Amino acid sequence: MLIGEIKTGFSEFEVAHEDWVFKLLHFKSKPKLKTPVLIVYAFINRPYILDLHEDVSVVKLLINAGLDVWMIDWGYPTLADRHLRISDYVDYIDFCVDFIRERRGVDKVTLHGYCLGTTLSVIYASLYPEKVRNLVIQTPPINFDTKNTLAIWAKSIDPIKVSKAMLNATGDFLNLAFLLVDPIRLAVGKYQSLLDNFDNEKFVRDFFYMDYWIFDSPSIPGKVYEEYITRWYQRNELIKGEYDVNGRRVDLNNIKMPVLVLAAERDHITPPDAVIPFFEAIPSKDKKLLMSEKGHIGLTVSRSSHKKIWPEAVKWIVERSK
Amino acid sequence: MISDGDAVELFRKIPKESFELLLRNIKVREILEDLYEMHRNGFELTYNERFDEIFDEIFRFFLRPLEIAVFGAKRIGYLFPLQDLVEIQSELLESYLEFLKALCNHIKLMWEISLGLTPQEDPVRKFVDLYTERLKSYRREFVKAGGRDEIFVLPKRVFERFENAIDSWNSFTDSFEKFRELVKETYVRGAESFIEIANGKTFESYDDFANAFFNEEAKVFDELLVSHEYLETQKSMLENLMDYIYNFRMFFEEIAMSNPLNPFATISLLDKAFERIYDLRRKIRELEKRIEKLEKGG
Repeated sequence: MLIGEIKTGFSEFEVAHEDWVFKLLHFKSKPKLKTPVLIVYAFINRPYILDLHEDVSVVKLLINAGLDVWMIDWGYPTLADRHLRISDYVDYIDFCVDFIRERRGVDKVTLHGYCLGTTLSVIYASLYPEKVRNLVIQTPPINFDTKNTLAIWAKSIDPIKVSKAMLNATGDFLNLAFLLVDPIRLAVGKYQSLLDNFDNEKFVRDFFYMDYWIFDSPSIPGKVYEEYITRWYQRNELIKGEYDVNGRRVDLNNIKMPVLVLAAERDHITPPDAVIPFFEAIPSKDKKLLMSEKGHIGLTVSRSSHKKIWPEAVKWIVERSK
Repeated sequence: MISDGDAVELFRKIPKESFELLLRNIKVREILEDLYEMHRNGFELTYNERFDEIFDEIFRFFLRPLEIAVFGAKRIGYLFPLQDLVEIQSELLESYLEFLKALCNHIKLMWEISLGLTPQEDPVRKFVDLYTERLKSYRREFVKAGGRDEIFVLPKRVFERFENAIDSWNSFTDSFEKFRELVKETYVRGAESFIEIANGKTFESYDDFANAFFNEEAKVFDELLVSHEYLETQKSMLENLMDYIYNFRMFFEEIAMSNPLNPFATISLLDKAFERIYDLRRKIRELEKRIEKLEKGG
């Protein structure tokens, strides 16, 4: 059985800016539309999931639609980065937005968040609404008071002990937790399905591209982990309007720009309940929710999502980027 | 199912976690196929060691890291046993002496080759002999000094950390044992539920048979993983493990920091330095923003 080399990342890019572990990537293209898109991925796992391979690349869809696509790569934090804080991430988003505005000669950008990158994007859009033309949020955790296993676990752990002992929440530690929330389906059912399809080269290649991404897990800096578990999961500060960044309160009433929400019915990490209260509460008059029947990752990389959901999502962005 | 050649290729190309899970699932499938063969031939299924084997294959992946956390700490311990400190130091000096001798011989040889003669008075040889004797005498003194009252040389904090680590370790072991029991009991319950279904009907295909087994297991685990008992056990296990790791590391750090000969910075010292660097970096960024604003006339 030949699976070939697993070479993730289809679209060409250049590193436009680098700041210690953080990088701003600029995808090569000839954009026709005015408003650039800045993709803000989560600080868990790697952003190339949006450009995993040619057949399921969201980045390629955006580029082909005439958009200028930028992406933040949060890198692989080490022991030296343990004292990064969530405010540093928000600050770097601000730096990147200003960088792109200046480079492209525009006032605003489209902010496209994914998973915890959504949480960062919503925080940013609330603090700097004047710089965000459109807000696209994909599988977004904004309301952390949900009934999925991961959310329940997050409420019953002490992140400070983890940070003190391991310094950072390591990728291995996080992977174990992500698999243990559903051990039979994720560690058995999924692999039994691989064995059923071992003669199907395309299936096997897709499978291992996904697994390569799943196990390519950076650490979460210790102090970020403490704050994310305590203030987001345990206190649910964001949706309650109690969250602040360096003393500046994050007011979701500032989300008046057009908002597109991409949620997934079978998402066991950020179920639809993690965004619906936010979607209903924000004052934006131009808001739309696209619901996929897939899971947290399937929404991005399944071929069916690329037929049904993404063409509509890209059309929505294009119409608001002229 | 996978040829040896394929296995090697896969091991090279896919994540090691995927590879391990794949191999374990091949084993699970082999056992389930045997059980299905029995079922198809009209034998009643009972919970037996074959189901235990499936359990081991599935949960080894999850239980091992917890065991490794403990084993890893033991391995670090081998690097720092108090009774071996003197011996290690002594061996280091021995190696250094051997190095000096070799260096001396080398220089002497080079001298002879380059000048074509051997000088009456060899200053290098003389110095090395002098210094070798000095090191030997230091070594004799050092070995003599080691001994019975080492325990009183170390600060009390070392023993406090050690005691805390032992306490956490004991609590972790209890919680881990309970965690393992909960997981095993749940698995057995799922397997028994499946056996009851299988003995009441005939599955037409292996796929239906295996899917029924996985569905029953998934159902009981969905309940377990959000149950109060499980959450409490997991919380206690994780917290005690973290306390154990922290205190054990601090125990070694205290030993290292109490030794003025220690040439290494500890993790805690580095962490403090990194914290200060990040604080300074934020201040610089803030200043840069202010300057930028001033330059723009803001």
